[in-house]
Amino acid sequence: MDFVAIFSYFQSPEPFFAILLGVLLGYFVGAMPGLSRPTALAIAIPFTYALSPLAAVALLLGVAKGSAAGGAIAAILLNVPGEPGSAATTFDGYPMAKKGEAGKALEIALYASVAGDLIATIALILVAQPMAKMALQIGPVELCALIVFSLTFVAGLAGDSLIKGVIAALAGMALATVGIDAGSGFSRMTFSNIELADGIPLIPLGVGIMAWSELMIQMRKKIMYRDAPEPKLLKGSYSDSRLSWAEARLLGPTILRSGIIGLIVGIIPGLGALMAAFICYSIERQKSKTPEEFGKGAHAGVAATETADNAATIGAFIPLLALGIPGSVTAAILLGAFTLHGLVPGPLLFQRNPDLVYAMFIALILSSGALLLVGKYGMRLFVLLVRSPMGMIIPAALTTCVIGVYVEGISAFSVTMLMIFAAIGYLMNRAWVPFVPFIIGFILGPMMELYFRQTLILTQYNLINIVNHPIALAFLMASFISIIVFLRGRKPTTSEKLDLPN
Amino acid sequence: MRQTDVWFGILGFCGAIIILIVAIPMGIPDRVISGISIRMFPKTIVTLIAILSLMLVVQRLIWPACSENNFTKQELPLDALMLLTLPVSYLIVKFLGIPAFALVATPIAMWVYGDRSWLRIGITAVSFAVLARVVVVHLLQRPPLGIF
Repeated sequence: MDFVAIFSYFQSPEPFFAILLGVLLGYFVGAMPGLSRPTALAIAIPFTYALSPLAAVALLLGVAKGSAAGGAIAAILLNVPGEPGSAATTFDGYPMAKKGEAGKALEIALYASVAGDLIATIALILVAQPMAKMALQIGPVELCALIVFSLTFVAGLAGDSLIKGVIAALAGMALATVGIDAGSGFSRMTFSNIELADGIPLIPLGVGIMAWSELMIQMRKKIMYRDAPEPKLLKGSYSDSRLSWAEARLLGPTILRSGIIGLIVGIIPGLGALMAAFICYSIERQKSKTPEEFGKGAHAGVAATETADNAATIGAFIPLLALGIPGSVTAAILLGAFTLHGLVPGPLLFQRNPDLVYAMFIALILSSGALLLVGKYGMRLFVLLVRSPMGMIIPAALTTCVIGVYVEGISAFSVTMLMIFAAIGYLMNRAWVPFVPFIIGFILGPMMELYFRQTLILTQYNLINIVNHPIALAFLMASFISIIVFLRGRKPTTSEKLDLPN
Repeated sequence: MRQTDVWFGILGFCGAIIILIVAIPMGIPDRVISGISIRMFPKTIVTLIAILSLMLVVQRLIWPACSENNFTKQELPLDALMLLTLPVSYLIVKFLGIPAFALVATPIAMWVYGDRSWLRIGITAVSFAVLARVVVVHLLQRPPLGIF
């Protein structure tokens, strides 16, 4: 390990500013119920162009971490989750706030978020490299099967229908084939359009589907339900009730347990922070000596959900860093950002850019510290920001989307693509087609094609020969089993599955 | 969802067939590299989309979906209006520029969200437009798109 090379990344203040800015932006987005993490990440990517690869990744990681923690603010004060992962925090966070313990609830959420984040960050540092080393031992056949498994899982869990999820993933892959084929050098489906030679650009696609269309949906909801009452912010001082040391100590086992469970759930593709939070909430309620307190303001309820939410968010980066396979949309966007900066996540990243990987690990730990500082000293500001009018935020976000897309491509073509994918994203949302498998399919498409071709060659054009690859066979079997499970019928909602308050 | 899914399946199937029959032969040269045609992967993917779309139609006709929410006729004008904002936004951005887009989008969004103070709306819209111009031209040093 070359410490001089690693620390040379931190000679300039750029990575520090990027971490701080990312966490601040993430907190803001997390606290705002109308904005989501993918929206913020999609908007932020084009602006990372001017940054070094480390600063760019640090900024995006900061956004992911900050939004996971910031989601609790709206959940506690408005009873509306700022982020889907904080949905379960409303169960006990809001009742606590109604009892006049808003400050305590916010403190529990903050410390639990930081602890969950730290647990997952340490696990990532410890696990990613050995996992990447193991991944080097497996070949394209296994990697191809792993992608099939991940996509099946993501597609099955992302929406209400496995078939629609798989169609979305395949559509993403089909779009990824547009452009010059890396293997042969021939143009595919460009129809002599020079601007398509490099393929469909990721940034307009991501911003269009994840940001612009989401903002359109927000506007649509507001027009549809214009008479619906706005959520009211609870009045009162947030410094009246503070978390005591004795109370914090009691939450220790909950935080540790939820951190580990959240981490494991986060690593599994497609499950995500929302599922992790609900699972941990359910477990804590079962383990509690006073389960009747849950739903009425139990401290452990807030601690469990927030720890799990943050641990799962970071846990999803483990397969990304180690195998180059994103298990969540946040990880997929990060994969896109890595690619834009000339880096390929996966086992080879540890071989080709070991210093950068270690510098990234340091940035991850620093961002956990930033999360604590920003959360602790910026809480009052974020409580005020929760009240920001969406009427101002939406045009600001839309303008930022156009600027980001234009800055990246410096042509009207990028804006055209933005509008096309915004329309696709809007229609997908209206038809209940999940966009997560679409984005992951688009990003993994080129990798999948390469591994699929290599698999065909290695199996001598006879896929039956996969039986000679037991790991690949295991992944394919797992995919098959998950297909059967997902096809068995209607999937119950997470609350129904875990018998939780709706 | 049943009706929406059926339409989605039919559209997916038709789209996949058109791509398979028209777009792939036209858009991808018929070359074979190391024993594999470069049309193979897109063809496989699009064929799978066609099969799954058909399966979705059959599934929704036989089994009920988990929710019966559909695109309703009452909502279609609103959806059409929302989609219409896209070409309009594109034309504004392309021919007038990003600041002009901010100038138009801000009052609309603020009005939709219930703000009725034209002074506040005006000040916000102009501020966003000026900020957009400053960010693109001066901060990021990119040529302006459109007139502004």
